[in-house]
Amino acid sequence: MTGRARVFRGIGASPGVAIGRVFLLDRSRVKTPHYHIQPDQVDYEIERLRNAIGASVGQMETIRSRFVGDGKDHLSILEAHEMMLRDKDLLDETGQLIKKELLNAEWAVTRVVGRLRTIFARLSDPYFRERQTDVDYMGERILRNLMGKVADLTELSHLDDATVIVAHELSPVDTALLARHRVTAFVTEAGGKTSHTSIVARSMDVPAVVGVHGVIDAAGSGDLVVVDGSEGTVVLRPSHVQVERGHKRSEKFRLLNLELLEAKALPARTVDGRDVVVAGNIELPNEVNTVLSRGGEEIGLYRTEFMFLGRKDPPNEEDHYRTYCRIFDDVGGRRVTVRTLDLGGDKMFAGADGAVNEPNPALGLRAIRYCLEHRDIFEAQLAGLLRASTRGDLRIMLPMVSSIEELRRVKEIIATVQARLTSEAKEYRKDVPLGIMIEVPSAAITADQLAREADFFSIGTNDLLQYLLAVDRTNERVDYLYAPLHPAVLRTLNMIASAARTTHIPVSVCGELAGDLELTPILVGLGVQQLSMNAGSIPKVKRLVRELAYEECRALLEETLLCATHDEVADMVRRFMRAKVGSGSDVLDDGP
Amino acid sequence: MSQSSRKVRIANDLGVHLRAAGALVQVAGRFVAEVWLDHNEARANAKSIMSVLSLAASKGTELDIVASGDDAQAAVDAIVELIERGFELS
Repeated sequence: MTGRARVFRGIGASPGVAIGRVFLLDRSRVKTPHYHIQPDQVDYEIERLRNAIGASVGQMETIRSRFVGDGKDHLSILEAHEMMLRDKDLLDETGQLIKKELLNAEWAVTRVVGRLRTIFARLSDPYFRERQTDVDYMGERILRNLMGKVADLTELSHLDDATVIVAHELSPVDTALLARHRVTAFVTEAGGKTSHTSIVARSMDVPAVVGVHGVIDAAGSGDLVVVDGSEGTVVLRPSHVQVERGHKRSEKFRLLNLELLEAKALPARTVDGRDVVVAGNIELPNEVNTVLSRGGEEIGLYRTEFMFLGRKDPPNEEDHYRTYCRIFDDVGGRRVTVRTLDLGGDKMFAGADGAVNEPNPALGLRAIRYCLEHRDIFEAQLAGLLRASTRGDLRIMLPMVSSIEELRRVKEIIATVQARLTSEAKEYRKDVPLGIMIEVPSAAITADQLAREADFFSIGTNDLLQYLLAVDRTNERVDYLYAPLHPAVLRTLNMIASAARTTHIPVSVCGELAGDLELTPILVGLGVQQLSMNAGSIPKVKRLVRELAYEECRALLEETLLCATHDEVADMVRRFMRAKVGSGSDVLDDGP
Repeated sequence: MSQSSRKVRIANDLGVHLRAAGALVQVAGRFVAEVWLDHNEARANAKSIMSVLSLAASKGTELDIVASGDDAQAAVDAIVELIERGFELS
């Protein structure tokens, strides 16, 4: 099979594309002798065990001291292994087996490691389950020391720059040693996304594909290989075309990565030091990771409609609770703003009563109006939300509020739900912020009053523009009237932001305008605390905010508020961008 | 012989992961008291990294820190403080 290109599929564990030569690390497990000992040999076996553990600890110390890297992750893994070896429970338990069951030290170690392994293997959390490999490495090292077969990878010192390590699985020691050489990629037969190879590869920022079955048998040291950690593919002995494609993907990834890294690492802080939280909008729980990987700092809008669609009955309290918990599991302590059901009229889950064809659904029984009419559906969602609030930083947001009475009624319903949860001994937080979407002109005009009873505002620009300008954007006969920079829009936004500022409640913008770079200086000038948008727009909006000065944006806003037409405003904004933002024009040109 | 215990919630994103477990074992090791971490039915020896890891305490887990021995109170305080600091050793 030599000479022929072969494509393997595995799990992309660390993104990126690399091309290099295979370095094959074939490390088969040691075979350990198992036999019973005589009672008078117990002390000797325990002494052997102590020595082997002591030697293992010593080797780990040496490796750690030799390891001069900047990867904090490797160090902590090495330290943790050292602590595992020093674990008194390990020595005691193994010693007991030698003494009570008269096992030789190798056998006793194998038994204890096996038991620990099982404990970890049963855990449901993948991170902790994967720790069985740590236990394995530790056991392996003790066994090798017992048998005088220590194998650390000294031969790795002569690896050259474009080396792709192909192995069954790498131990943390291997990866730590390898980190000093410029390894280009890792390929392993074993392992999942949370294996050490994966963690270390990600921290070293080199591509890795794990779970690649059969690659060790097929690969020879020195073979050319293309490793695509984004696709999860490995091409052994690639053709010219495959190499060319690899180079192209590698470069594309590098550029994308630079932009994303910048977006992730830096906060959206204006040059004069004002922070804007750039958040992501999601519809499904699994979109959380996309938002975070693009540098989103919060989930600013979780649209819960998808939970309701495509099912016969509305979700019950448990469905809600589990879905929100899942989001909190993924979001890493960041704040999540959940919008309650925003359906009705035209779109509704199958089997919903009252799913009638309204003559004018945009002005019909939808969103908060629908929820107030269908208390059971609404209460199930509120109960799920309140219970999930113990699991993370939650804000509840009501869509399409058009009068303060609606907010008050919701508060009463929440009090009822809280009382029920208390009586059922279910935990919930009492201080979950309750905010409203400002997307109906009546709410915008009475924002000063709403601000006294709402904990926060989020401006839903899509609906607000439609209602404010009386334009259905999907109707091509009037779509020319859809003008985000219409003076009426700016004045309305300004009115809402002023009301929030006077009352000291935070205001966000979610909806398309939040991700529209042409609007960014205006929104920053309004003093909006949070912009929530589709994940794809996050890096560019963050980059632009970092180039703006709040005070200048504020002045721009004041000027635009005096304009008479959309075009005047648009010109003013464009001139501002050219003057103030270095990359202004190209930022605008390639859009979000 | 004194006893002490306190409940604390794991707030850091990764839960009691490798490094956190290492820090916890180091802190527990400074005290003569026996220190346990209780979670539901499970109990871990706070001085054994393997035992601590096998609790699989992810973010949001509530742990009951239980100590028994002369410096039990100080041990519990130190561990609660460590957890509240997000497992950064001071």
